[in-house]
Amino acid sequence: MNTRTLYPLMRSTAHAITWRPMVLGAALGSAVLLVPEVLTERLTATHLTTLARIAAICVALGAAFLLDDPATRSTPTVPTPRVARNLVRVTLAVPAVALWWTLTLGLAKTTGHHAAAAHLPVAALTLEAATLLTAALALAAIAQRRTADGNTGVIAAPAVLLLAAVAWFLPHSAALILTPTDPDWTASHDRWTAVLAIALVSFLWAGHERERRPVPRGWRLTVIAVLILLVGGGTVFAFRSDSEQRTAPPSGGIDTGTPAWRQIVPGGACQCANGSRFSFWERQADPTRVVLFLNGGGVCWDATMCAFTSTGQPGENDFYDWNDEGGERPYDQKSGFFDLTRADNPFAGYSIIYLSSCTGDAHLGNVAQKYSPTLTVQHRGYVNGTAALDYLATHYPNAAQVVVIGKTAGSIAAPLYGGLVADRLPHAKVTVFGAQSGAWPDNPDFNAKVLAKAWGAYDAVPAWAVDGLTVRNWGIPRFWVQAVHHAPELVLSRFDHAFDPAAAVEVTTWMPGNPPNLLTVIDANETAIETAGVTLHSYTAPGKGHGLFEFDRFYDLKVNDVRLIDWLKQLVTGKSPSDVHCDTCNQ
Amino acid sequence: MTAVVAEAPGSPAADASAPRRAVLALARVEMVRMLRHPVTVAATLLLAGLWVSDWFTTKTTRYPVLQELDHDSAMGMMILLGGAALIVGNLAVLRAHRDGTTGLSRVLILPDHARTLAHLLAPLPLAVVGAVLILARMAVLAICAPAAGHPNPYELAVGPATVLLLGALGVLLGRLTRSAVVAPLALLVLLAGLVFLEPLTNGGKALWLAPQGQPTPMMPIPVSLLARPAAAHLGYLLGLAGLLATAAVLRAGARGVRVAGAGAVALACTVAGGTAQLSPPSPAVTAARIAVMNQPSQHETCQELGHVTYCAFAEFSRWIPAWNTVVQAVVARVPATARSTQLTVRQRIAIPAFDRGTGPEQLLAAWRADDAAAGTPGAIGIDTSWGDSPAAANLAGQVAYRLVTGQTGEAPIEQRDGATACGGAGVLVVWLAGQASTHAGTGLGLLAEDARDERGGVSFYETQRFPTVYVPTPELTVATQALARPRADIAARVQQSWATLTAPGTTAAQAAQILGVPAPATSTAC
Amino acid sequence: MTTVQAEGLSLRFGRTTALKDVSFALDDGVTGLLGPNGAGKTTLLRILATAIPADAGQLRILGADPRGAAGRLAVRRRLGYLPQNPGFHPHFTAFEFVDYIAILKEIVAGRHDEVRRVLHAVGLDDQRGKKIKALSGGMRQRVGLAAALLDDPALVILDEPTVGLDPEQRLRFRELIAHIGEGRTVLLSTHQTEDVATVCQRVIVLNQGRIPFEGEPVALAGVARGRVWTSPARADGALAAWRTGNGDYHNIGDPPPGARLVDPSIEDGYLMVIDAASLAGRAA
Repeated sequence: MNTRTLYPLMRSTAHAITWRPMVLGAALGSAVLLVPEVLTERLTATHLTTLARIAAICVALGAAFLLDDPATRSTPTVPTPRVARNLVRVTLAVPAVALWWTLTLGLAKTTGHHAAAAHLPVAALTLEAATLLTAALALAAIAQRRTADGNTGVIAAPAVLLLAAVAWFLPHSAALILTPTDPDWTASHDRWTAVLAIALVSFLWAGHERERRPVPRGWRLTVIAVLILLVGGGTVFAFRSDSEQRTAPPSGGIDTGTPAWRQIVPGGACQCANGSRFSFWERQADPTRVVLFLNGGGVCWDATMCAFTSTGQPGENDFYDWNDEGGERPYDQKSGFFDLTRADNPFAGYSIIYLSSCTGDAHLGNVAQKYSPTLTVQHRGYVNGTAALDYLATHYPNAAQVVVIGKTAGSIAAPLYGGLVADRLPHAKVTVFGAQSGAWPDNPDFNAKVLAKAWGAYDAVPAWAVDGLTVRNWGIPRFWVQAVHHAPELVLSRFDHAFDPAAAVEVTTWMPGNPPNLLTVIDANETAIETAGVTLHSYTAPGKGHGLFEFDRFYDLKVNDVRLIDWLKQLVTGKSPSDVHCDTCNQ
Repeated sequence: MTAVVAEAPGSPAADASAPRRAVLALARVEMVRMLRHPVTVAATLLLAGLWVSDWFTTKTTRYPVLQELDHDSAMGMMILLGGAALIVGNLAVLRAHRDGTTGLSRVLILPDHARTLAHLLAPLPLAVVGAVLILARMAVLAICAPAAGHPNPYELAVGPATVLLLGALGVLLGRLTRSAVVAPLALLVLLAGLVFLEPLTNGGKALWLAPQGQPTPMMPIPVSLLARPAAAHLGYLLGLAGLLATAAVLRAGARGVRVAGAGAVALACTVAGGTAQLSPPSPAVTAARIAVMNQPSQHETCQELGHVTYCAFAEFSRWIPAWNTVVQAVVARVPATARSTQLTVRQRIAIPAFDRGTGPEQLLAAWRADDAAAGTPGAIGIDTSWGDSPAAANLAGQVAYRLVTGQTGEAPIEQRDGATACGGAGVLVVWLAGQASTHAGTGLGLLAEDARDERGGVSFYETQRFPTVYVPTPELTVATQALARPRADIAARVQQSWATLTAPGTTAAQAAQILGVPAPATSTAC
Repeated sequence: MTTVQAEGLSLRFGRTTALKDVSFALDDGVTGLLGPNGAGKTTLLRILATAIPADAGQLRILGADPRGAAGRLAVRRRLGYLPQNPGFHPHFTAFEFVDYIAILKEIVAGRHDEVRRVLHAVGLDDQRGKKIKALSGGMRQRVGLAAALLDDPALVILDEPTVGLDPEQRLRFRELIAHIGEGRTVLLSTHQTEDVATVCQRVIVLNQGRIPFEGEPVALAGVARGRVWTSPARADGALAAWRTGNGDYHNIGDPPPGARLVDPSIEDGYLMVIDAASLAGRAA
């Protein structure tokens, strides 16, 4: 075949191909992947991977009919070899299939409200789809050798399904169909590549015409018998070794390698609100970059809010966590900030020290408070926090970067802890990111009643924190100012949802305005802080959402075309991103 | 040559039964062709091979719960044999178009709708083959393994019914379009439905409208609590098959009272079965579920083997010897003087959907109250599946904890991880659990692997749901080293130094020294 | 009795008129249907085989009117049909395929015996168990003929049954057809005039949807009597001339005086009938 005939051949072949099976397969494949996404939010990554695979098989089934040629009886002796004619057909179809796959996967990743869709393993699934397509074409080419009437699809299509069924039921050691979270995922895709290579070679070999040298019956039967023995033996062996793996004695097989999180019990004066043991958590990774994560845990300042429950009655106090067991643990959720395997998590490689508040005092107090004859609460948040800070200083002396992250109630004290970190690690660059407490007001009554009296915070914190301020003046928005006056190198940042009702629900009585407009309070606080000469980087998102770190909203959040994680990355690497503030904040 | 007999016009046709007999003869031809077709043979072999390999790969198949396996087997049959009926049946209908024989067949006598009827009858032997296979599977499992419960015959019949349903679909598709790609695509739609319908309906009753029905509960439950509308579902599926068959025959040109009658019967079956299967379980069953979940002791029978009391639901009692093997393997390593604790193993089920008002803590409290009332305080909870390694490890670990510490592992409710076993006691608990059997050893490794993503160490669970005993990482490391040593040696040391090892002050490092293994890198503050 | 009686049959496909006002009658014996491609032969045969209805005209086959469903069914019970380019199921054996057709013909009692009988009648006893895809073209045609002979039909319609057969196969086929024609009505369409000459008792010529000739084969040959001559070289004024095997030219047309006239063959008569107008046009 020479190149002059190529273009007319392609045109004629395009006309000759029965496109309908492929079009049907592609249409159905898209529907199989996209319609469920639109109908339900509950699909996981495993569901979507399986649906994507089914979509790939749909199009592979259509491709099984690509080599159908009713004119096959008329063309056995043309100069253009059959393998070339097959390749022409494939060349015409492959761009269309690639386009369809790109569109379908692209739509799948972006439509619907799916965290799982965003994580769809595109490269791996594309490899699988390409393999399925090539296998279908190889089966069609093999069918070509056997049929005289050119109907290859009716043989190849069921064969594709049978192969898919066999692949589904392969034992684990040879498995091809795994979930994305399976540890063997990458290894299985090496096997997929091998299958792709085999399919490609088979396709080319099968298209190659050669004279039919009649194979004597006996030979053929022998070959088949040997093949069956090999396959059968291989299967039995695979199953045997699979089951043996399961029953092999451990003999050092238990890998007691480093666990993901270590629980540290500092002891000493540290305790939770009910006097029980306090602990915090450590994740060891890069020793030069550390996150100090101050988790929320609720707050309380009277007998109702601070009540424990008696041990006989299950149930918690909704206001705050009062013992070590009540709070969240860092490994309780594996999404959002806590998905440390995710490539685009800015803190994926950081070491992390994680504290939940079990003292109801926003990590600030140091007093035993008797709220009622039966209720004495140990507000020892500052003591507990100090123990964690000491641990940080001792175990991460070479930290070049420390990011103090505060979540809800934990963000109240975040700027002060930033200053405390700077004290202990003078060579580290300290960034503070306080999330979801921007609406806490600077109200003298609150300052006196809660911060000073109930929690004893005014007395607990170091002198620089209250320097120049009376009890009534020492309010939460002032913490930022005090911190940066003490440690001017601190980088300060704040995040809030504009109208999150849960972020400051306990303190609305102390806010200005009736009813208070949360966004106005947030903006006013920030203005006051910045008027005092402090640079406070801020990111204000619209809406009523509560919760940032726990969900994939952490990655998806984008206001005025600025993604939060990009903004954070700039912050911690020393660039100064501009403030982000929503325009229409009510949605 | 025979002489031609000139017949007067309008003479009666050959006897009136000829069409019927012709349909049956044609059906017989099509049945044979369907059974012989390579796709059918391959699918049948694959199904049988799958069930055989299950015995070797899925450990819980050795302790089968037949009221779950009946449904699973029917679904396997639906995909493989039903898929074969769909595709082969479709190809049979399209054969005339593919091979160009329509020119002739159009002027033959047997009308199109009769031919379609013959195609519709073709999957019958395949359905029978499926029925034989599934019955054989149940029989083999019931005989060769300590099986629990019994299968529901209607669930078993659903398998062959889906073969008929999909066969009818294949014929209908063949009458609707000549494209041979439609039937395989229809099978893929069915498979996609298996994947996404459950999340879509949140596992609710609407799933019964699909062939697969609602999934079985997350853990096996006694047959009396199952209340699956299997008979209604069977009627629904058969009705659907009838509707598809009627549609195919109508499309082929059949008219008349008989077709209308058949269609009406099929519709009635579908509607009756379809609505009956959607009704919620009766109040008696709902009450029974809550009662069995919260007070299992009142629905169980107890048996004592070697000073250990086993309480199980009647249909699971064949598993007691297997539990006993693991328990006695732990007990055997404990010095006789220390075996004072009264051990009870009690089977429980924990399915949140049964009692949405009760949280996990309330359920635990109910169990403890129930144990106390039954006179078996501190019973070890075990669930309704057995055979896989974590189950053995969990049982062994909890038994070991009780024997080592003399306590029941019931921590106050605030302790979300259960009780912590520290120092020598922790080392002993893990060693005793890991050496109980090879299964337990593998299970221990799997539990430790799960824990490594979190805080390390290993947690032993009761009823596979609630962590009751936690052993920290240093103790786990020491015990793992000990498990790698010759068992007799370690066992001797354990027997000798039992008192020291179980003493509250013994640290993991000290225990390591006693057992003759390297000390751990870190130590736990208990 | 007259097996087939057709009056004024007409059929149009879109704008093409396939048959225009065709009238004829068929009796026992073999009748040949001659005509060029596109003449409407297959259409006419399909109408007679009750595969398609005519637009206009009267038709009685075996005493029944195929316009009604009952009439069609009555016809089909006593009809054997071998279509042009018959399809086969290649994976069926010859026996299985004919058996399949037999079932579709509602032959129930002694079906297998009947299948064996027809396969024997066409000489395929030994090939009964062979798959059709392994049979040669001639044998496949015989399978189709066997299927057409099932249940001893009174009317056998064969549409170009000898196409693609080599001379020996064609000979055998003609033998078979002649045999079958004894005591039955066989309508055989062909564009091989030798088939007509050797086998048919009557011939109908169909051209452009009309019947320009109907009668005995000798009468067809007689149409060209006195219009056929040989000459050593191509004659001027001949409507058609070709070189024969012995070097002379065979001419059809208006012979010059003194020309060596020869006895016309059926082919000569056929050509005259078909192309009389255009032959005349060319000569002029």
